[in-house]
Formats: sequence, structure tokens, C-alpha cells
Amino acid sequence: MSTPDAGLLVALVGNPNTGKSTLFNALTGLRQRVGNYPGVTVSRKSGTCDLGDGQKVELVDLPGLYSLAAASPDEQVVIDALSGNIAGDRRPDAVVLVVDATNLLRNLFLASQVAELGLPVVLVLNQADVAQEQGLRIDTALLSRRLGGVPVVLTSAWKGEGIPEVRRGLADALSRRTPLKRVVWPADIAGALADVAQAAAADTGKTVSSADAQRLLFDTNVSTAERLGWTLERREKPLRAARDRVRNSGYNPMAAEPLVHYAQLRVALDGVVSEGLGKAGRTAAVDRLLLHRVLGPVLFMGIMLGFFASVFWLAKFPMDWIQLGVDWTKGVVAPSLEPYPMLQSLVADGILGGVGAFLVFLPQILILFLFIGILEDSGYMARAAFIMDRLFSWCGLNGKSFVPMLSGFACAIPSLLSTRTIEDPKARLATAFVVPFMSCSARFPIYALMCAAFIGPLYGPGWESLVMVGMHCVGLVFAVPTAFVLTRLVLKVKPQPFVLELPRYQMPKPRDVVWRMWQNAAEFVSKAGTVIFAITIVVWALSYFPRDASVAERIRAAHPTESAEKVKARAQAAYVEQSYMGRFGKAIQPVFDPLGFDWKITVGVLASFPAREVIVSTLGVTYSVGEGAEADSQDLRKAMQDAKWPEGPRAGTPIFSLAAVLALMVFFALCSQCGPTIATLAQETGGWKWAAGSFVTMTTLAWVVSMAVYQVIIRLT
Amino acid sequence: MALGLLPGMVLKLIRKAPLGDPLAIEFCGQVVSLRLAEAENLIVDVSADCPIQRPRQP
Repeated sequence: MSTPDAGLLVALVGNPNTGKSTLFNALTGLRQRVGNYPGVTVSRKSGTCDLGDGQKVELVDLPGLYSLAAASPDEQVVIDALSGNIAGDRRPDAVVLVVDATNLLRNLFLASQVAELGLPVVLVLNQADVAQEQGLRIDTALLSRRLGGVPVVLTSAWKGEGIPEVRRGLADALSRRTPLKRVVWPADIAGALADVAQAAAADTGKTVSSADAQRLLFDTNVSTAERLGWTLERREKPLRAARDRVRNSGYNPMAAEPLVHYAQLRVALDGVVSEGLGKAGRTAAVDRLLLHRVLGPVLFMGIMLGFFASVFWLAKFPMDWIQLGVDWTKGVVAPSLEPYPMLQSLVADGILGGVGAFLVFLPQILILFLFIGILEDSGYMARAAFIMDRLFSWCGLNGKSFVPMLSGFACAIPSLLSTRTIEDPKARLATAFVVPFMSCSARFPIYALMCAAFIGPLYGPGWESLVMVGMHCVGLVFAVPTAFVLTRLVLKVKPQPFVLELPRYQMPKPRDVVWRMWQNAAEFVSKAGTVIFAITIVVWALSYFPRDASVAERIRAAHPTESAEKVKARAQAAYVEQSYMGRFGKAIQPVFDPLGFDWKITVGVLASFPAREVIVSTLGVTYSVGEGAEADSQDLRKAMQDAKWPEGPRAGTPIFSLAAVLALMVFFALCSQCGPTIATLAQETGGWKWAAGSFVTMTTLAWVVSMAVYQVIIRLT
Repeated sequence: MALGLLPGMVLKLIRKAPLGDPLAIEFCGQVVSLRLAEAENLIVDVSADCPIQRPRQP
């Protein structure tokens, strides 16, 4: 990890919804580094924090969690980071514990668990302004004494209040090295913990800390045992004996830890918080409206449709500008490379096309993350999950799957990144798997072209819009059963508990939202961007080589009366036909024959695997109308309407029959044709296995369904 | 548990989600969403004259 070894490392730990990230941003300014923890998709955010006395420490923002009983990858990272068990990372020298001042008891449970690690601690009671509004008065001096003399600081990170005091408290904690007061275990539990520690140490030959012993005894999770190398056969007996000892003393072993902690915290908090007169929270009043049984879902749909429409429409303008910018650059660069046709094509179609292909996603990604940030920080995201949970729980997803699936209609890439808000790893995986089924905006051009060229002229505008809407639903219709099959038959998950805090509503802090949006976008550009770029170059090369100059000569000779423009378009079509891509398309056309695709469509389909929206421009090339073809191009529509099968059993009949048109649209609705999505899926699921699974599933499904559509309709018409 | 839902605690059912599941439950000054499947594990002692319910963990 890129951290200076000499400096001190401080970890920021706290429950979700405590304003931890806001505090982190306030303490570090925006001097932050974002990386990944090795082997997991949990990002490691760190920054430099000035302690005010000239001393600088590295502050690392650990994921928010309620308990150290590791259930999710996020929680495991926190435990490993605090115990110094992450390869390449140091054990922190101190911990800043961020707690919600309005709910000390629950927040201090985590603090009390962290105390078992014996690290120096600063306790930050954040959201002090809200506590004050509620009429809560907190005696910080008394709390500090009760907790063993650790520095206790009241802050309101949102308003920037109390930040210098946190810096001073941290300097104080680092010099005095005072740990938080530990819980006193009842004799039998202490004995059971000692038994476990002893047995584990004897079996593995490793030092077993008291914190390790607690995780071994109290959790059903086996990660600690695995890290120590304590095998199931060896640990089974001593653990059962120790748990029996706890049970015999009157505690349920699985509940003993919170019971003991909470009981002692209640004593420690006695007299610390005094309740005065305060305003009742606005949250309950807002919830009465937003979670109303009838109005709630209506408002929810309104908010989500507004959200989706803005991502779709707001992004259109910057996307057009980016496209214009790329085209302008092409226009400037290409003529100067006229003497070197290969270099010209590489720069204009390959490099600039590749850069354009991923830059064009940026506006959607930025806007999507801006909205998600606002929804999350305001507290509405949890309500959305609450409202939608029932609709998703039956197929193994949960309420939090909704937003990624909805935003998948704009673009799958930011949606895949937004699945990070789902804690349950299986539900997260299933959500990520079905997100690419959603009809993203890149599918729009092919629907638009087909509807405008065939459905509209033949059946009228009513059918045209109906088919358009229908195509947007095809993916969703197949996504839900896919999720069901995946979770029930492949992952074989039992329905996971879905416990969710509905936090207080809060005004999102613009700096935090914009900063997070920026970090996500930067990550997308650096990771997916390189893959998209590479794939575009490969496809360019396959459709450029081999290129025999005599082809253009022959075309010119064969059509002496045509305009230079038309000859150029014909030459381009001929070049593609005899390129590797064209030859390959012709060779595997029989595979797509049952779907009613000729070799030109097949080449279009193959060329669109890295990015499905190139289908329209590829059809433009293969149907010889030039590569500038757009969905609304008259020439392309006419060329396609006139296209007939040249030979075979269907000779003379139109290639683009109703059956073929629908089959082609369905194919594009279901097929996995997006290099960036595959790359992002691999990145987010931690390997190529799920990315490959998604590609195979979607592509097979697309072929089967599209074939069925073609074969049924061709017989009916 | 980590959220502080412990035996002997006072719970208040705030509302149900539009489809009846999950439930929003208030305790310790916080509101938490629980699915019916999880809520079934709570043993709640409802006394007739008290609008507030007392749960027990199994």
C-alpha cells in the first residue's frame, strides 16, 4: 500500500449513518487516496490529517458497521484492519470512534467491542447539533471518566463544528495512549473465553488475542478460525464445551456478548445524558407522508421516475457535446493523416472512437452518482428499500436491489458500481448479475432504427410506440426469473435476514456528495476506461485488416458513373466484407440463420459485442450507405427496406421481415453486448467467473428467445 | 442484536411497508426495518392495557 511507513496510522470507525464520512472529509480536507483492500471489493479510503501541533497522521476511513461480528466483507475488513491482519497494511496506532450523539447506547456497543482490541481511542459524539435540538444534554467529562479517561469530543461535522477539538483529542490519545474501558465478563464467560484462547493457541501454535477468542466463541462466522488455521475437527469440541459453559451460566451463547456489553454500557451511561425539552424530530412527520401505505409508493414512483428521467435526459446534452467534441477532433486530425490511410483509420476510428465510447458514459455516471449520493445522505434510500423489499425478497434480492436495477435502464456500468450499497454479498451478486438485462440507453438506437424503418411504416405509430415500450420490458421480464434461478438453484441461498436502519432525514452535504460522485467517476475512467479502449482497438483491427488496395480500384472501375461519395461507401462495405470480421461473420452466419440474420446483420452483431450501439453504424457500413449512419438516417432505412435474400430457400423475400425485425430487437434486448459492463462486472464481483457466466447466460438466452420469436412469427405471417 | 434489540426491551410497531412486509419497529430511539421472517423470531408479550409491547428473545 502506498503509505509512508514512518507516520502514525489512525482508523476511523463507527456505525452507518453517524456522519463518519463527513467527519473524515472535514479532518483530511480533500487530500485523500482511494484504493482497494487486497482480494475484496471494499475500497480503502485514506487521507492525511493534521493534528494541529504540526504532527501529521494517516487517517483511514473504515466501512460503517454495527458490530464486529463479521457478516459482510465490509465488516471483515474492519476487524482485519483493526487487528493488523491486512497484508501490506499496518495495525492502526489509534482509533477515532464516531458515534451518534442522539443514540449513545447503541453506538457505544461497537465502541465497547473495539475496546477489546486495546487501542488508544478518541470518542467523537457527532451530530451534537441534532442532539441539542432534541433537548439532549451530554456530560462529556463524566462519560470520559466512565470510559476510562479517553478523550470525548462533541462535534457537528456537517456544520464543521468541533473539528479542531477532534484533532487535539487525537494528539492527546496518541500521547497518553489511553484505551477505552473494557467490559467485565461474568466469571463463567471469562472462563469460557480463556478456554477457547488456550485451545486455539495450543492447536495452531499462534498467539490468540482476547478479541480473537471473543470472535471464536460468540460468532457463527468462521473467518477468525480460518485466519488462525484452526480446523473444524479441532475447534468443534472445545468451542461446543465453551458455549455449553456459557449456556450453563444462564446466557444464550449467541446473545451473551451484546447482553453483557449493553448491561454495562447502561450503567456507564447512567446520568450522562439528561433529557430536556426539545423539538420532536421531523423525521416521524416526514415518514408519515413518505411511508404512507398509499401515498408512500406513489411518491416513491414519482421520485424514482423523476430521478431516472433526469439521468436519462440531463445526460443527453453533455453526451451530445462529447460526441461533437470527438467528431470535431476527428475532423481536425483525420485530414492531416490523409497520406497514411491506415494511421488515419487507427486514429479516427480506433483511438478516438475508443476514447469517445467510454467518455460518452461519463455524464450518466456523474449524474447517477450525484442522485444516489443525495438519496443516500438524505436517508431516503433506506425508505426506498423498505417500500420495495417485498417485491424483491421472493427472488432472493432485497429492497436495495431496486435502485441499481432502475438505473440500469440508463446505463449498466454506474448501476453495477451502485450495487455496493447492498450488504448481503449474495444479494449483491444476484443484483449485479441481472442489472445488465435492463434495457440501457445504448439499446435505444437499434430499437429506434427498427421501429422507424419497419414497425411504424407497416403498422402505424401506435404499434411503433407499443413495440418500443415492449422492448424496454423484455429484459426485465427475463431478469427476475434469472435472479430467482440464480439465488435458489445456483447460489442456493436461504433467504437472508434484511435488517435495515431507517435513519433520521438529513440535508445532504454538497461537498460530500460531489466528492463521492467524483471519486466513483475517476474509478470508472481508470478501470473500465482502459478495457473499453483496448476492446475498441481490437475490433477496429479486425474490421480493418486485411486491406487490399485493389478492392477500391475494382469498385471504382465497376461503377464509373457513380459519385465519389457513393463509390467510397461501396468500397468501405467491400473492405468490411473481406476483413477478418467480415469473413468471420460470413463463416458463422449459419449460427444466426435460424434467427433470420444475413451475414451483414451477423457482422453487425459481432462488431457490437464490445458496445451494442455500434450496430447502427456497422449496418450503415455493411449496407453501403457510409459509416456516418444514424438511427434516423433515411438512406439506411431505404437500403434495409430494399434488402432481399440473394439466394437459398428465402431468395427474393425481404431480409427485414417482421419476424427478423422483432428477432433482431429481442436479440439486442437480451444479449450481453457491452465490453465495459463485462469488465465492470468482473471488477465488482472480484473475478472473471461471474462476468463470463453473465456473458454466456445472456448471449445464450438472447439466441434462444430471438430464434423462438423469429420461428414463431415467420410461420404466422 | 448489534442494533440493541435485546430481551426485555420495549418495542413499538411504527408501520408496515405498503405490501405488509417488512415492518418498521422503533426501539432505543431508532427505527429499524425487519422482515416478517425475522420478526417472527421475536417473542412479544402484549399486555392488554398497554399499547407498548415487550419482546423476549428466544
